[in-house]
Amino acid sequence: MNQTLFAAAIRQRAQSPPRLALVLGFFTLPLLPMAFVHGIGLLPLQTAAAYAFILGAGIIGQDFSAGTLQLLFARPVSRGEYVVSRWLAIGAAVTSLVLIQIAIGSGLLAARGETPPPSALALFAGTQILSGFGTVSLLLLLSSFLPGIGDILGVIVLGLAAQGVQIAGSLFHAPWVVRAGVELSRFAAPALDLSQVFTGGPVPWFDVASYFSTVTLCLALAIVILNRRELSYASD
Amino acid sequence: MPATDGARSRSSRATPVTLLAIAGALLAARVTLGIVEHVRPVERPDLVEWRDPGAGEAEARVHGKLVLYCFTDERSDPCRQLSREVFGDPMAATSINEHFIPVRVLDSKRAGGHNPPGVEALEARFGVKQLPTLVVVSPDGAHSQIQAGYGGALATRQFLSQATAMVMMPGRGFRMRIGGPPDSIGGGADSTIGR
Repeated sequence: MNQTLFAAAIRQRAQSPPRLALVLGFFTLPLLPMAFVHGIGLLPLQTAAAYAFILGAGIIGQDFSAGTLQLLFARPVSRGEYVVSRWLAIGAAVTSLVLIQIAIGSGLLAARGETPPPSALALFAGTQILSGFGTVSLLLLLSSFLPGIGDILGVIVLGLAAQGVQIAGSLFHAPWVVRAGVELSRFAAPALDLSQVFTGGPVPWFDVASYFSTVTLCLALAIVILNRRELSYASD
Repeated sequence: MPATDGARSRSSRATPVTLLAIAGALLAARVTLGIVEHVRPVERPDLVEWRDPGAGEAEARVHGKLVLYCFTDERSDPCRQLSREVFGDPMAATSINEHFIPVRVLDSKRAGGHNPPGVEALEARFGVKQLPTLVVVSPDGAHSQIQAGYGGALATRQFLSQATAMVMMPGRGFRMRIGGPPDSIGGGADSTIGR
């Protein structure tokens, strides 16, 4: 990881007013029901994927469209280093937001005498952090070949395609097609529910392998795709 | 200077061989485990305390609790997956038992049988066209939240939390569809807001 690129990525996102406004909305609004609705628990705080979309949109594509990469790669920086630094930076930003929000949410619940047990708190936070890093990985892959914030459109298309495949499989009574659609939707929303992994029952190894396979595949492919892209210094 | 020469000779487009190898190994593990779990699914007992429709609705009115209807068919793969991954998860099941009056509605029509009139009426009331379908209903029956299809344990838990919050705020409502025909519920392939 390159610390300068890491810091630059966070600084770049922090200087975008629309992103900050959206983050503020997703930070404060889920806390409201927690302050007023009895017995709601931590469930409204499943916001990691939203933060990842807001902060990760155009994670590479925007730099590409803005011409930043042409200048950046004129310096002794490897493309792999750039991709990993961006991924870690946005993932870390999402993690920070998630942890702060969960801390405030737990405070609100504690004030009403509904303090969640530490184990549940840790599993919830862990699940959210994995969801954040997973979503950023997918955006990274799509952003490595789509311009601007086309990665968001890519995620939508991927989600719709997954649904379409499942519907087609149901209509034609083809369970393997349905399964392919389910796997596609799993790829489009990488997440791992840690409460299922650590609550004493059988460990869902398939879910564990699926999550880490999606994340590593997205990272590796993003680097390979960016390695093969030619950066033009002239534009139309 | 050897160090500088080394830095210069290092390619800025180096192929991430280790990362690709790890990704490949995990992908192979994913496919293998997927096949193994498909052939021999990991069974988890359903831990939710299900009620019959009539008894559940009466209990919800008395205690002022939300009703969670689960329209299901035990022979359908997504229904069994929902049961295994959500209703068999101790934390999720405890949360459901605490916050809802869970009501299971068994649909036998899709397996070639006939549904009792009560089941038909409930399916018509909530526009159930796909199994499994989860419906969260306010104690007075005025507000409902629907999730059609099964999009995974995490998505279902998210739906339950959103549904709880939305049903508890009067005048609000939304319908969420996962993996079903776009025009059957809510008019969209994703989620829509309305009553």
